[in-house]
Amino acid sequence: MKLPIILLLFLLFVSGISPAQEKFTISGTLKDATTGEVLIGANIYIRTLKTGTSTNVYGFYSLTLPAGRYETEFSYIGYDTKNETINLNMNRKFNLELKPAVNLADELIITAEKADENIKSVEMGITKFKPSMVKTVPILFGEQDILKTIQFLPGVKASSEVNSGFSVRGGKADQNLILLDEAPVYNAYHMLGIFSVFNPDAIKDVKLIKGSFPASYGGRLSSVLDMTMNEGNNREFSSEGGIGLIFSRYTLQGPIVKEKGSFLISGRRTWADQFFRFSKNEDTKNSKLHFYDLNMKANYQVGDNDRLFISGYFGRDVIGYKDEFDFNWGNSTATIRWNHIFSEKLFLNSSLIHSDFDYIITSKSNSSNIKITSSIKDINLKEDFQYFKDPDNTFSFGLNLIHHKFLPGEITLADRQETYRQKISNKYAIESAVYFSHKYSANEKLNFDYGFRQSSFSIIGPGETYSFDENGRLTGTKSYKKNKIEKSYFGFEPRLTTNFILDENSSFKASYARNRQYIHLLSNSFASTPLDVWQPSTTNVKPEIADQVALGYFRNLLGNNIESSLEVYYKDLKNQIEYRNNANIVLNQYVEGELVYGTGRSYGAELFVKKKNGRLTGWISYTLSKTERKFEKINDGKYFPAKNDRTHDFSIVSMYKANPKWSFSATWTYHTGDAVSFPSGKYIVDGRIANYYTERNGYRLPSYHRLDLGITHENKKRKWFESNWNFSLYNAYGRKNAFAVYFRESKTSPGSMEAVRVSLFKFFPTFTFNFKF
Amino acid sequence: MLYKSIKSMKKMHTFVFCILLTAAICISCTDVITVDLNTAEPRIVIEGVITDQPGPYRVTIHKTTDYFKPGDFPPVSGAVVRISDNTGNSELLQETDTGIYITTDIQGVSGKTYTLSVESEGENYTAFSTMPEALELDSLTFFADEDYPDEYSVVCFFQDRVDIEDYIRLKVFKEGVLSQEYYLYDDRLTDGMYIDYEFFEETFYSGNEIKVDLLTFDRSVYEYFSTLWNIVTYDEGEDDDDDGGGEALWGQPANPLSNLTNNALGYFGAVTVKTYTIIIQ
Repeated sequence: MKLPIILLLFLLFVSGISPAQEKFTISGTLKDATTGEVLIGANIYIRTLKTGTSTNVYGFYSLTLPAGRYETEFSYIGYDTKNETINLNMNRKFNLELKPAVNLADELIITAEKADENIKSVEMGITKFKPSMVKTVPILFGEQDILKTIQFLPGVKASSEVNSGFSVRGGKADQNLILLDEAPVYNAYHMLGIFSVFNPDAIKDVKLIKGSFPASYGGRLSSVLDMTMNEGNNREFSSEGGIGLIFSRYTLQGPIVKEKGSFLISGRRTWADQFFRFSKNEDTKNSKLHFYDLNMKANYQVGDNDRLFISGYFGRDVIGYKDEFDFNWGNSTATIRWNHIFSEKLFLNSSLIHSDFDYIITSKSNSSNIKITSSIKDINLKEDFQYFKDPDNTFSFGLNLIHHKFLPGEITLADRQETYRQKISNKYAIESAVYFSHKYSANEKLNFDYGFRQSSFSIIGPGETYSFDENGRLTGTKSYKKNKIEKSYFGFEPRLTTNFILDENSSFKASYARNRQYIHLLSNSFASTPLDVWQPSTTNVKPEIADQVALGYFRNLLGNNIESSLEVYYKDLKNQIEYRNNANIVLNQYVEGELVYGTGRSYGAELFVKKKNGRLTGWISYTLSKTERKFEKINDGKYFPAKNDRTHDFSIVSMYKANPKWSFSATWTYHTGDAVSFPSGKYIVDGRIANYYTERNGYRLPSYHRLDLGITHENKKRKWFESNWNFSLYNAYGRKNAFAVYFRESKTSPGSMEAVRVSLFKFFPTFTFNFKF
Repeated sequence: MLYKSIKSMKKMHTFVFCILLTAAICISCTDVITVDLNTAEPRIVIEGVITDQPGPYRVTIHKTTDYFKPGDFPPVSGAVVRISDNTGNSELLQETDTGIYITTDIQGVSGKTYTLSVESEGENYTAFSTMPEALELDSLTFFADEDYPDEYSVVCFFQDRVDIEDYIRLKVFKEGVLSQEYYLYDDRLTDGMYIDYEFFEETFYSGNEIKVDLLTFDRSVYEYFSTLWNIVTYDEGEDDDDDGGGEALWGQPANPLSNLTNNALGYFGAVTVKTYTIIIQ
């Protein structure tokens, strides 16, 4: 563990040795002139030197240049560009505010990046957007949903129809690291995944990274979905809200101390259950069915060099029937962050994060009371440094320390005679990492971002280690004491991306990354349920490992108005986990004996074409891919298609702004059906007809396709009040897409079998009203 | 109590899952579609049971057919079928009906290991199964359901045997009709405990005659049944909800783990049987 730190210091030292010419640094923060929100990824450009930089996620930038007078351009998409002359004869602090552009009333912009960012930046496999830019995309139930919007991107697949759960490049849903203001969200779904827990009104910025993570991210194999909450307007109070089919929403924001600090509170809740109270039926009146999300954030600028943020999320689903049954679950997260600028060149963000997910089920009847609880709780400390040496060299380094506490399950059962308590022992673990990366421009054409992450994971006491025979039968138990390290894993995770700029409009990129994952979600069905349990790596359960290589060609057309890219990838997966057949997963202390391990591979090509601005905006994405898994005891040990293997996956998303009042949108999606196991024959055993299977996932559900339409009308603006309404139609041509297919004996002709298709949502129209004042 | 808590947890899982699914089911529709299934090479299916009850015992052999083909399953005739035990007894079975082979003398005894060997169309298939000592119920009783008047729950009680791997199947007959549910029990988590086992998938009413067959067998037979239940077809009774496909919908279907060699389907089991009857009144 010491070696990387020494290496890091050494690199810093070496990079500190500068050539003779005197250099100075200009640094500062860029903000929105109307709200005071910091601008993420805004650009600072020196035309004469053809060099520049962009702001980090806290709006901070730093640029070190030879002494001189520079015409400096500050720009951000959707904002008026500002030009400033800066006399750089000493280190200067230069904070600036940009005004939102006003001439765009007829147009839409659907990108958060500068015009040629995709060509010039060394990042690949990354998509960024602001929820506000895609708010007219029609979504089921009319509720804008970040996790559903990203499902239209190449390489991203929905777990199943209407499900917010997603799979990136053949990965499983638990292989996505979902971060909200740096806090991991363990269960990002309401109601079996129909809705995600992220309220778009509270989210400022969304970034999805598919596999080639920068070294600062780790802990999952497939993707990072990094979301930043709005900070709140520090100039004036404002509020907005809306009533849709599912949610009623309200957001309030304003200054704490004008221009120094601000707050934001944003909440949404389902409202249909409010009608329960009018019911004449007592049972209905006393039933509960709702869910809600509450986001809060506050920030305060302490001095020139320090800024504090506190943010939190709290959300819950509640289902109850009279006082007989109650089931509720949810996440809570809290993040305290401190930005400190040590010097013009060195920026530090420190974060202390709490994250927790739990569920409680209670059931009361005359004969017995049952209570079941389960949770996972994390305390997470992060130190992230950024050192802006000069325009060609930026260093990022830091550390991350997480304490995990797993409470897999406890049941209390009381009847008239006795009370019985059964508990699966808690598990404790420490996950840690140090990382270092260097973003380096070798010349105008060639850029690198290389680095590493040294991660480790230790299961600590108190606890027990089990050993099992090959059939999963317990053969031994060994207990270990409090705070004693029972088992540790260490992993070196190299990361590299490189960008070769071919010309103004095109570039070629390549990346390699190794990712390790130490905690695993055990799920037996393909819909995510809150009852799925997180399992840490232990003596029996090894960390999952993924190696991914990706190549990409990026090209912009029509003056950067159209962005296109073609990426190919190959991913190798090790230590993948499945339940054995007939696993006993419920309240099982020895669940580790019910797991089998295998490998996987995924490869494919992703084509993406995006029109970023104008009256007509949108994108087309196409993925050709293959995802396979291999387990010794499944399918005779041969590779078989993963359930989420989709050969073809095509989406087109289009938004058209006809005039300031009317805008229209349409999406069409097509993909190969999921891989499923269908019987290839039948026979009789135990007096019943049994299905005969020849191979795992050897069949396909019918191809899936669907058209969604949306219309938005902006109502007349009044001084204090703005509003719009939205109408959307899901599955406009009423395709009966197969959610699942099962087989049964025919009712009309006994003795013969038939296939039955289950389909959801033939049509689904929705109306939403939004307001702002 | 442990077993009861696991069961109630399982029940709770199912319950919660149902609630969560309600929304989906409300808006879902089903229809019969045409699915193109491969024609698989027919595979041999062997089913043989020897019990501790008086014989004769039966082995049936047939072949798989195309899934959508109506009608009978082709029996396999002319096979050489032999059951032998580990004390030197051996018997060739007689084919009394096409594909049905019957013993004449052999008598199943607890503690012996039986071998079934089948020779058909030039291929050999074998399976071993050891007949355990029979386990007995302490009692089979019924309780009035405190939550639902008129309804009764039926529970059986037994002592799990310490340091013996107990594998059990309970066949429940209500008014002479066998329940379609597989009531299985193993003691991986409950070795040596006192067990109360409730037939919670069933609803019982006053006057019902309940017969329970308690079957014990070895692990290979248990593994067969515990992987069989989610691929067999359920008759849809009076309630018309299509939950027959439920398991296929949520599980990952595969052929059951058979104790027969050479890729034969089916199983061979040496089984003890005890029968209990009560009338709810």
